[in-house]
Amino acid sequence: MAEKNEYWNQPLETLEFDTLRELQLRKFRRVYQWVWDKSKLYRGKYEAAGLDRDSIKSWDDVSKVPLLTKDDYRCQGVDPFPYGDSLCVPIEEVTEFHQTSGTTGTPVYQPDTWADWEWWSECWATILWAQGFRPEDRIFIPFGYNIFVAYWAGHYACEKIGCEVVPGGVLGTRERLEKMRELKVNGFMATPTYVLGMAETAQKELGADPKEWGIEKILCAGEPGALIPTTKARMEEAWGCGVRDHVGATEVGAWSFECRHRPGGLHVLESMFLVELLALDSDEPVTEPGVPGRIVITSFDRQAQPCVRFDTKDVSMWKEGGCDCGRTWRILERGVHGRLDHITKVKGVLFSPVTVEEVVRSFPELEGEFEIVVSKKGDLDVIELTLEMPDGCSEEAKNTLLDNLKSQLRFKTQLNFKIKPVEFGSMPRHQIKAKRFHDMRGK
Amino acid sequence: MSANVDIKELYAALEETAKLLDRVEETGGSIKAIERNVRRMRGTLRTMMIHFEDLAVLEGK
Repeated sequence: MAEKNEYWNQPLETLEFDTLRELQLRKFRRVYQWVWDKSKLYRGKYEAAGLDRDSIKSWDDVSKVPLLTKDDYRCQGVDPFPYGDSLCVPIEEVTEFHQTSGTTGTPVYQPDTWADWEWWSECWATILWAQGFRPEDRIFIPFGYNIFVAYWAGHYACEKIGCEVVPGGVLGTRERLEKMRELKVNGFMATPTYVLGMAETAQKELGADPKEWGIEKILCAGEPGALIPTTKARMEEAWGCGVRDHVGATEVGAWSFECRHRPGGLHVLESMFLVELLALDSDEPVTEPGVPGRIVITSFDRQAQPCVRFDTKDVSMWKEGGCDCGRTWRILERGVHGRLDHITKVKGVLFSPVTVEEVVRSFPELEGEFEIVVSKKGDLDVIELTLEMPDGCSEEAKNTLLDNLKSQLRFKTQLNFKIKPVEFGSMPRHQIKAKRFHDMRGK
Repeated sequence: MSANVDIKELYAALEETAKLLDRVEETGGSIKAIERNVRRMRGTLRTMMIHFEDLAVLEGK
């Protein structure tokens, strides 16, 4: 049941759905006209599609607006340097620079004005509040504060809420853990990979059980793990508290979250973003629950470089029904299922790398890293999983474990994996975004 | 559970605040410490205004 203090912004979070849609259409029209007036990039795209400044009158008109893709940001790197034609404000109004991690190509430069930066922390404040972060909390941020936006906005949102924030900056994992224990922090935020990695370091290097440290809340971002049931269960078991997911992107903002009531997916932050699902192989809208579609997002209120109908190439599906939290904001079932360019056919079978994580994390003995590589041998696809084996594992135990793993992978993916076991600790540890899938076919 | 907020009245108060900030800038904007801090305050104010601008209109329909 929802509590008295459930919401950061009750009027908007519980808005009747038809009114919310009306509000979204008004906001979409405003941001469309903003980019039309201010950005040569957008205006060029829209004129080429036969649209004009007043084209947006109905939801049908919204669906005619051309999609924005990462390729469109190739206009960057020229004057006004470095943002080029994507910039919508005078360059002297930009106060923040960040860039994407470049996981899926050339990094995108993202400018923000001070008002945008306040908007970023407002998005995050909505999310943190929904996950139960409160003014009395002491929150540790074990993030190498740098050029990526990642937890920067989380830091500012914690301040906005009134939490006491401890910046874990350039400390190493062991030092971060020691500081968390020393200061008795009761929450932190990190990628699922790092949440597990920190627990591993606490146990192996400090000889400590992090369950005893009084951590009450963990926010995850950057990877899909917190909504993969086996990965979530492993994190919650390691730290003895609830773990909640959140998804955002540098170009887009912090647009979705799992509330503390565990809706079985991600609420869309509908008062600040328009999220559409389009068919995987066309631009047809997907409105029916349970049907996979690719996620297209518009940030309504960002000024310096808003994104209008940005094709994230991430895949999800609408969930039927609401949530115990009482928010009227829609839910994406199981969050982000993977990237469209990672969901690929291997040996003729549709394959998503997220399924491999789900299987690997269901084996309690497998606590280490793993990596999936798809390649060609002659005309045949080969899928190989390299993974770290537990320390001190006998040959017999290792063979049994690998047989079981292979059989589970076969059951879940319909594919025969070649498995390459390696020593525990021999693969790189990731703090920001683990890149565990590599498709080498055609490379 | 209802917030019991009159959104139109809230938005009107935010607009008044924006006007007050304009007045502060008109009066002391030649002082950098005023001009720059007003700019930051406008960023914060805008965050509240964008929440309620459209809602205030829709409630008035």
